[in-house]
Amino acid sequence: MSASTRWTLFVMLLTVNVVYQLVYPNTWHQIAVSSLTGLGLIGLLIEYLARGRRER
Amino acid sequence: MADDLPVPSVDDVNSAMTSMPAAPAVRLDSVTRAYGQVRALDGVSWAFPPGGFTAVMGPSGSGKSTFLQCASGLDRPTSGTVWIGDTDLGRLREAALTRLRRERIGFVFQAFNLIPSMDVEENVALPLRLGGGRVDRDRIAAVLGRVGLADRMRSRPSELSGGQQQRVALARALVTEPEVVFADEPTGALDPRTAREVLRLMREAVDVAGQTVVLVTHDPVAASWADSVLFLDGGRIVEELRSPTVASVLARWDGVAA
Amino acid sequence: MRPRRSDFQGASLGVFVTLLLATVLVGAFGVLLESGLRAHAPTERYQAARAVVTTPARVGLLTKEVGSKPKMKYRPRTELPRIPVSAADRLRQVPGVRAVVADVSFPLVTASGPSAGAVLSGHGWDSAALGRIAPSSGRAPQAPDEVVLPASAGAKVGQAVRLQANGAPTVYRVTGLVGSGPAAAYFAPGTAAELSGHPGSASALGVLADHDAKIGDLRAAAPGLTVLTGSARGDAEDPSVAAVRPDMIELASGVGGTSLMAALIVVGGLLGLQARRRSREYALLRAVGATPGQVRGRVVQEALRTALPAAAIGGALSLAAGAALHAAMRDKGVLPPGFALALSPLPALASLAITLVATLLVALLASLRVSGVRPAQALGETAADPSGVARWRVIAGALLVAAGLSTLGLSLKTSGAVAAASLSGMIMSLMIGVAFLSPLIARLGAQVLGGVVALLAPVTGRLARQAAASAAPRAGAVLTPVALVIAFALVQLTGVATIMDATSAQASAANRADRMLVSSGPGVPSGAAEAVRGVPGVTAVTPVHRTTVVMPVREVGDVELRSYPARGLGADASKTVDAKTTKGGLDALTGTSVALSKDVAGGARIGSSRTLFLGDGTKINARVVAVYERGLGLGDILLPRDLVAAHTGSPLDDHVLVRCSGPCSPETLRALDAVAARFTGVRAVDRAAFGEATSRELRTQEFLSQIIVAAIGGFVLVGVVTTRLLAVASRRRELTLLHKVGATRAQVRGSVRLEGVIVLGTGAITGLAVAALATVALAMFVTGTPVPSPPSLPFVH
Repeated sequence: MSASTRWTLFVMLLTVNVVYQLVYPNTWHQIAVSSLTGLGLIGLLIEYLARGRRER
Repeated sequence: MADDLPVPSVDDVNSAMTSMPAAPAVRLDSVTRAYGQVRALDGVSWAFPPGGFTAVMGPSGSGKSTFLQCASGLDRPTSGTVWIGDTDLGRLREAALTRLRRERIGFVFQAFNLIPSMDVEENVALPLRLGGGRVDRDRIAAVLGRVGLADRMRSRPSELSGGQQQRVALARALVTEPEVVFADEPTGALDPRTAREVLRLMREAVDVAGQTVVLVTHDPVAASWADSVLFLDGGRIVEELRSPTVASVLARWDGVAA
Repeated sequence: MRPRRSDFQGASLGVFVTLLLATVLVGAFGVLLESGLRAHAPTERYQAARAVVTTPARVGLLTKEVGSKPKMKYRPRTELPRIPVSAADRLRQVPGVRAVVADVSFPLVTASGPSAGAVLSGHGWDSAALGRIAPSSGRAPQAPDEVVLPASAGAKVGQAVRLQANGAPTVYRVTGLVGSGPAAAYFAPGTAAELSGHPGSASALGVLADHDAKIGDLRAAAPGLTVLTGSARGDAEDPSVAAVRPDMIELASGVGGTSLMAALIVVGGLLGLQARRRSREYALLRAVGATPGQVRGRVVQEALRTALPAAAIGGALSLAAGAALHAAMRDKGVLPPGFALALSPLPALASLAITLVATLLVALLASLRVSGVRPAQALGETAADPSGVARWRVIAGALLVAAGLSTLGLSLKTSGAVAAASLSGMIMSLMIGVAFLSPLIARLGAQVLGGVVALLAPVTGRLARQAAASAAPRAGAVLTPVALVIAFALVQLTGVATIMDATSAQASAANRADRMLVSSGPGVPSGAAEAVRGVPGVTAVTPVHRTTVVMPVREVGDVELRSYPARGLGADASKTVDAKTTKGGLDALTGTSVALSKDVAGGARIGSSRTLFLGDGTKINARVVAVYERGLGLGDILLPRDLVAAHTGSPLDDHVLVRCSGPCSPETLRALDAVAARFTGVRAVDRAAFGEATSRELRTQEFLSQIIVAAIGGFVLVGVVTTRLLAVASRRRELTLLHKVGATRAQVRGSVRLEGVIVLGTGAITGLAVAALATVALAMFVTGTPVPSPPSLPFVH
């Protein structure tokens, strides 16, 4: 995954997370979406970290 | 009975003494330095005799800067051993390595040898001050006298010419009476006449004071001042040339670079 | 190891100026802190009293949280207390006590004569002995209608004057004048007790005693009360100074700390930049045999050498700055008039020490970067910046930004203190994330903004863009403070403006009255509200009496004691006030009851009981009768007016709400005006003219945010200017090369300027982005719409 792909994914997940929170606060599906995007973000970061470890 | 043993002649003793290897000042043993896949030094072994003036030459990318860094303790090799005198650098930790560089090695770089905010005396005294000991001003004056700049103790580096700066750098390298002085292209930025001055001083240190000098250079004229020239290529020593002259160095150089 | 003399380079100048400003600020707020700690209202009327007995200056509550020991929490009392006069009896028994005076105090307005409208403080004549006050002409008052006035009132002995206490103005005969002293009027003791509105209670007991009367004996004779001596007696005269003291202390330390932190961020950046410039020098030192510790010591020493004169000069200047700050705060009404300035060398010395220690730490941090430099770098010819950002930095930064944005929802869902905490947490994590990611942001900015610049100015722009892109790591150091200050400033200013606008909008929406009776003096007499009730066409009259109430409230697991501005609403409250109640109604606000806003209700049920402390420190258990939404405009606590008035120093109301049946007819309005005219200083105003005075809390916030913004802006300006100078200086070779290769001097200058524009512009845009997010979240939280109010420019009004 190249740097630009990674950043694009990051921004997209974050935007979905935030916008959903603003538009549908306090609903069950908002919590689901937020959790999923949150997990996705964390996954991205872990992948970035692991890639660095491997390269070294 | 004493009559049965062969009695060595005076000549035999003399030749034995000259060919007996004294403990080398610097010794490299299969030293390799790799950066990722690239090997800047590839299994280099060499012993520098004490009191000798050795030049190290090679085309760019041959590894001569890396050679100097590993030999002088500025960098750690990926594999192999480096000895300064009888000390294995690999066994030393960072603090001890720093102390070794301070007390037993002298450095002269091509440029930027002096701290701009300190005057000449303070620059020369630097290794002694870092050691925390008391600094004998006479000693500083003496070593500056050897390089002919005893009258410029209060000057700032910005007030000195390039050649004078290199001479001060040499004085600093010599002030701790080190086992070996490493010089990295010290005359690279100087005109031929000033360069000769600096090289003459180095030669003097070797001849008169028994100093060991390892000089990395790409200038055949500088190399001709040395006792022997090592040629590096592709991270390996490819040739040694004893009693070099400018012509012989140039000839060997063409051979190496081809 | 000491270099003889260090060159005074650009970075040193920047560090010097920043540290100077920081020391001045920290010291100025230190002066405020010291004044706060030593502040007492001036002792005027109680000068001759050996001691003054009053109720404790603060209310306390024992709170217990899970897993920790029970702790007492305190808040100051804001109003004059009610002490039963009978408490004086025991005091009189103490040996050495000559007399004990029950001092009453009430506001009085002059209704006639040349000084009509002047406000006096009314007391009984026995209180005059407490201040060694004697009539300079005439005699003491004895009959119920006699009064002694200060000479400044312009009356003559024997003259008849009209004075207004809590009813219509009444006629009194002047029997004496007092030459000097506070603006006080003295009545016969019985009259004074009646006029105060609570006969049988005093606001303080003044003790006249000989020197051999022991304070310990007095304390024993007054259980449950506090005995004040010396300069503390002033607090009994005017509790407003002691009331703001804990808040001022918190404020001074908070703002002082924030300013120091901002300064250190800038200084850290400058020192880091300077150290990086010298990295070859440090590599040389390392090669020649300096340990990393020795290199660090050198960096720190040099930083301290600049810091010492800056801190010394700053410390000296900070005393003057503190005095100016104090004066400005008094001016704006942030500090009560009795809050005196206490000036000593202590804040100057403290700020000097703090600045030095902080510089030491920051320099150490900056030095850690360079001491790790590899000695082999001394051999390098070019000083190349290490490319790329450390992986951990990217991860940490991205994580912080993501976490910050994800908590946006949290601040919207919850309310009150939790929301405020999560909002500031969001801003903090965003800003730190930005700081971590700054080189990447700089690179992005160089591409995007640089592209724009290159389009507009082809030659110089392209050079600038390239320079900005290649210097991304260094540019990050400039970008962070710029982004931080812009974000911080905008959030502060906009936040305060949004809250203020929302407050006045809510207050206006909550007000269902057609006319309000307001006073240009100390308040509206309760007689006026009564009189207005009789006016034909008026359906509802609600007197409003404001006070400060202390209530324990649960915040994030802790129980905190907080002071809230509260309103006492009189009869007909549900007709004149629309609080948007979600449970219960304001009609039930009678007796010992309370209505709470949803922010402090904490899910309380109607009929449940709430402990709170009224203005004079009395603890009550109030029945919750309503929960409402308009807490911003009306305040978080509503109480019955009679309850509030019984526990405040002044019986006067702050304003009276009047509602007509349908639109007010001209006859009704005329009648209203006539009623108002009967009382001095009272008039009836319509909704447009009725602007409630902003609370002290909001005024404080506004003032402070202006100061913080100015201070931090100053720091960052210095930092930015210095870094730009440094950037140019360190690339002098590159620039001269450009010049030689054929760029004109103007083009070279232009490219440097444009590069600055790119870097600073990226910082500004980043700061704007963070600020936009934070202010939108704040606006959503405060007003329910994502539209923040534009900030008022500081110092413009």
